[in-house]
Amino acid sequence: MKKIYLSICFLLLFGSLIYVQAEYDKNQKKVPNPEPFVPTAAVIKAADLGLHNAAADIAWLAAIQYFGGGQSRTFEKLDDYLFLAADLDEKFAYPYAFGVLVLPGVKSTDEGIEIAKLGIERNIPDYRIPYYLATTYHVEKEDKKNAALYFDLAAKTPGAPAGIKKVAANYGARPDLRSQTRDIWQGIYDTTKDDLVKEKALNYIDHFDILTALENIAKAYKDRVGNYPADVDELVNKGILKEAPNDPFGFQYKFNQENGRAEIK
Amino acid sequence: MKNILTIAKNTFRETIRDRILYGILGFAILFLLSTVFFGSISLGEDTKVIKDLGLAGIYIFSLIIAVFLGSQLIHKELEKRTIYIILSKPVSTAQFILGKYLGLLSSLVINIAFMAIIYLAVVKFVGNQIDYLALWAFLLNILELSVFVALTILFSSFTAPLAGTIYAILILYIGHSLELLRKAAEKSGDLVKYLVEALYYLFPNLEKFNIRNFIVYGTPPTVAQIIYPALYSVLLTLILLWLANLCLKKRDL
Repeated sequence: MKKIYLSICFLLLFGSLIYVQAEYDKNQKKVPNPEPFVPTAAVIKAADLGLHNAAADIAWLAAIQYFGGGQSRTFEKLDDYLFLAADLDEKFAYPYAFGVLVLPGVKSTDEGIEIAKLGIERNIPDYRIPYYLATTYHVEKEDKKNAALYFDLAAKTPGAPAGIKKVAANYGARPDLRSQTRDIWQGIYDTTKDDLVKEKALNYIDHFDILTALENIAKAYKDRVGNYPADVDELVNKGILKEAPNDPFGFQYKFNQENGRAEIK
Repeated sequence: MKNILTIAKNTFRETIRDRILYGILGFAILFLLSTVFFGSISLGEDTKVIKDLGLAGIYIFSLIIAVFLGSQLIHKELEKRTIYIILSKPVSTAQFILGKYLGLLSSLVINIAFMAIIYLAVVKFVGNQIDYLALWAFLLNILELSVFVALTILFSSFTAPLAGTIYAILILYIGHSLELLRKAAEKSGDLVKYLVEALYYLFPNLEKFNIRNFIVYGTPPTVAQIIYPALYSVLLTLILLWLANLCLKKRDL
């Protein structure tokens, strides 16, 4: 009998423990996460017993968790984490490449460019760094001169895939900026192993494909009706489209009445 | 020589039977296996992360084992008064120290070999490659441990286990920070520079045993990267054991 009482007491205690933990977790969700403190590489190097590479990996994993875990709304420390990983292990290529591709998305384009240039200065033999830097110059800065320079550098980096070399060779040759940009993202999509980057590249590819498809439909519409549709809703209302396309960035489109180009509303 | 080997054999048996060892080894295995998880969330950098964390884990856990087993090695003999029985026989303190050192080091080598097998299996499983270069990192890890074991024996010959552990860990930290200290002192005045330079040669410089950061990127070590640390380890171990012998002799045994 005593054993049964003791077992019940134990189960009650254990149940209470789980309840307290669950309540704590619920409460924690309401508390906004403060931005983390990211130490400098010099501090870590003085304390890591020479295990700089392992420390760099931990900084890298922390950066991924910080970026993907939704701990922050502003991601203001993302560049600090990436610089920390790159400074602890200078040969670790991916923080440079990832940084230049992702930081512009969190309003830190200049920091992204800075980290990629640091990687190039340190002679990291990874084509992704100049290729992603060129992409950022092309997309974010609309700086074709620098974009061409870094595409060329990416193509010359040992181990650069054929697709990347093709994009570099064709850069500037295509009159249409959109198809040029789509090719660049296609190059990233085809070569990256990183799911996060793959998803970002696919979003851009889908976005450009939607634009092109909508423009083709608008052109056919004009041939039939005599003018371009005002927006996508008009195409849906007239039964030409079943529904508005689901843009990966959530954009809605209207049509330029002069040339039929799809534009963001 | 026979006396040394007998003490070494007994020390080896004693350390290998220690339950603390199995606890630490259990955590080490868990850590080495968990590197697969850390690799999987690293956005395509699996092999690098597994190698970095795996090599670092083996180093840290081998140090922990050395600290737990080494700090009490001499103290236990003094506390249980078994040292009096040993030294009453035709065994010198030098033979006693050397036997203890060899026994503990061989126990650590077995532990490192065990962790290394798990590490190599994990790298083979995830990266589909046998990380032969890591064997150099393990060798230098053992050479560094040789110095560390001699250091813990030295401290345990004249101080309490806890104090000895703290001193050994402090020297370990200093030993890995000397390069940084030297670089920082380059900008200072002459006096500081000479002082740091003196410390640089006085304290054990342990950063030369760290080639993990090269190995992970597939860079094989040069002959000098192996020979000099090996010589340094042998010489420093001899000095530390000699000092431990002097300390033990000075005690009222």
